[in-house]
Amino acid sequence: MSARLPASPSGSRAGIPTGDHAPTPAGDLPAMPGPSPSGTGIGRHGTAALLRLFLGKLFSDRQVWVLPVASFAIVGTLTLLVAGGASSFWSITGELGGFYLMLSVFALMLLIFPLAGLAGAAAKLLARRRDERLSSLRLLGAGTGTVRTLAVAEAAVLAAAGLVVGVAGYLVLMPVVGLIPFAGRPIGGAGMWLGGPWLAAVLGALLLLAVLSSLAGLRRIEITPLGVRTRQQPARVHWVRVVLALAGVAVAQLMLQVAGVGDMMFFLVMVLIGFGLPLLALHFIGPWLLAVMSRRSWRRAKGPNQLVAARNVLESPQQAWRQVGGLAVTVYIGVVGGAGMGLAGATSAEGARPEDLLLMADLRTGVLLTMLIAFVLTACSVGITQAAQVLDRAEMYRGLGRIGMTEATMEAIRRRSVFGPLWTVLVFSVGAAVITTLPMIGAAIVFSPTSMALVAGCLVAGVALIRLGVAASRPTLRAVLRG
Amino acid sequence: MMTHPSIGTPPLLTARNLVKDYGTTRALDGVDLTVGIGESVAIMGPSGSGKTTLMHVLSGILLPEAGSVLFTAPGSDPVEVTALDEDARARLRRERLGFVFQDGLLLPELTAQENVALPLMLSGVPRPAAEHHAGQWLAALGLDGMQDRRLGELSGGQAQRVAIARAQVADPQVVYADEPTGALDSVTSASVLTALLDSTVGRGHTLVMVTHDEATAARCSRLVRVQDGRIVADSATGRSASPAGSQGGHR
Repeated sequence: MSARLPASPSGSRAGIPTGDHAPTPAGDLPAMPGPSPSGTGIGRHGTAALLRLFLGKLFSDRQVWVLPVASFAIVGTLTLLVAGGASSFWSITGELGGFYLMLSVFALMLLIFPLAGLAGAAAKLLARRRDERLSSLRLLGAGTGTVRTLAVAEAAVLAAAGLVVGVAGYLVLMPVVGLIPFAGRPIGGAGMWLGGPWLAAVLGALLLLAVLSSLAGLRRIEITPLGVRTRQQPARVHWVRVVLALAGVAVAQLMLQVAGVGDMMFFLVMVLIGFGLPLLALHFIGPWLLAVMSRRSWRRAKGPNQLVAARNVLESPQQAWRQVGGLAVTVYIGVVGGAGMGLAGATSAEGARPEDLLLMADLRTGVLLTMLIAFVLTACSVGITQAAQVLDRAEMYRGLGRIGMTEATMEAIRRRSVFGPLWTVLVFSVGAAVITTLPMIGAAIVFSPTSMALVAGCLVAGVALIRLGVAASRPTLRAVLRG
Repeated sequence: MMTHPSIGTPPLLTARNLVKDYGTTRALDGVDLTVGIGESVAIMGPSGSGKTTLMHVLSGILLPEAGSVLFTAPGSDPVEVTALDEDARARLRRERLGFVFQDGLLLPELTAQENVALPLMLSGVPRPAAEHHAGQWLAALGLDGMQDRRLGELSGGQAQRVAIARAQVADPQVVYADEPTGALDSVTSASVLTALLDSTVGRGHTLVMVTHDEATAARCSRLVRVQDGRIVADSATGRSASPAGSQGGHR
């Protein structure tokens, strides 16, 4: 098959050694090292040595630690601020103390999903950063125990470093967030303080999440040393989800109906399930909805940006939902609550008790604040997820750059991959709010246009924040393309 | 003593005195190279010799510190690749050059047909026309019926044929290939190489290929050896450029 090439006088072709046929230049090479020292496999001491080696060099390469540490710093700061803000309501006394406590728990329930999405994104980024090196170690013969120990240790150290910075961010921002007024006075810096035990509990939970996520990410490497992870088929999202979600909502309605027949504890449990189940149902149905919308977008795609973005979402609708799904309920509550409180404030201002007016103002602040916090959490989650995806597909992005795809086009595709699902969530949430409370929203627009303008302003600001989140990962893309 | 084979066809690429540095390392050190229309040129050399850098500079992926690359496609004005800005070079690569890499670098979430249609769509060709043309190329490369498969459903050789179809779909005058068979077994490698040669020089177009494999290089019409950033040998392999009888390709 292969034609013979002109042979040089030394026996190599044009001066290049030709593998098996190259003559050994006796005496030209320095003496080779003798036989390797034999070992008994990577045992406890070997693992400890590897651990020292890996952890010692963990902070020597900025590309390894900057993004995970920054992500966990953001997660730490935002989680502590949310928890601190919620806890500030627990010290409100008086006849409305219980009411404020309930509101804070409700806000926390709404924010748990976007918060979990953000923490999950940071943990995944942490896990992705070291896949390649751990895969190499597996190929070199490191056992599961060694790889697992290294993965957990690295994840824990990077997450802990990020959380330390996160605590600093929390301490710095406490007085600023404390300026927000509730119950007639600013929360205050001291009011935002969680207290030692709660602080430790939140940090411990986040650290545990990093470790668990790191272990979950390892399954991929344990299955195959090459860490191959290309899916053969896109993730399927079955319509059965819709049936199950509707069943969940029906059960929730039933729970709320029977809530009054038992004692106080039974009532609380039923109400909690009654409100919690629809939330879970929504997150169950969300990926299916995104898959349906993206398939429609893919069919209608005329240009490359729309086509690739739709395919991106279809690849894993669950992941797309995890990025933006946390906004669904908060936006719904934000629009309904903002309109309701605005209308109530406008129509009952005369003759109302000052404490009632204060409560209404607090409710409106709380509703809009919860919506804005959800947007901030989602924007950070988007930024971190996008950075992780760029790093994950670095070689492919470089290849696309070489065949002539511009950075601007790649950016447009990434933006569309986020904004396609985001618009779906926003349109359905705002649409659901308008359909279910049309008379109230209509009246609010007429009688309290300022409050509705404020709701609209929050939505616009939120969308702008998410755009910033995508843009924040552009330097990572640029660095990958330069590499 | 280095010999320059007579290229025998009009020049398509003319590189003069190319110098490229990475920090303090000189990757290309005054390279002159002319590639003719219809030639298949294999660039060989040890690791770090500058062969991939040379290909990247010739194709406008990288800009050299000094020197020039002139691209003279038949029927259009000559283009000095090294004088173009980033966007213009990206456009040139997208619309007039083709690329095949060792790992294909296809988008895993797209089907084979969508991957091949992508360069045309990026150049503004409507999707139905782009996908139709992509389907024709896939069929011509023996992938009929696999249009809707994704990367994970293709073998290494099939994926590389998809990459070749993607490189050819915009009908480029020259295709650059970087170790296109490096990740394949010898049998698959031979058939992929045949597909690559047939679809380029077989249609009167040009192929510039970086390879470490002597057998692969021997199937090209010309072999350029690079060492320490310089061309140390440049010779004909005995294979003719643009083999007669296979011109015109599938179209």
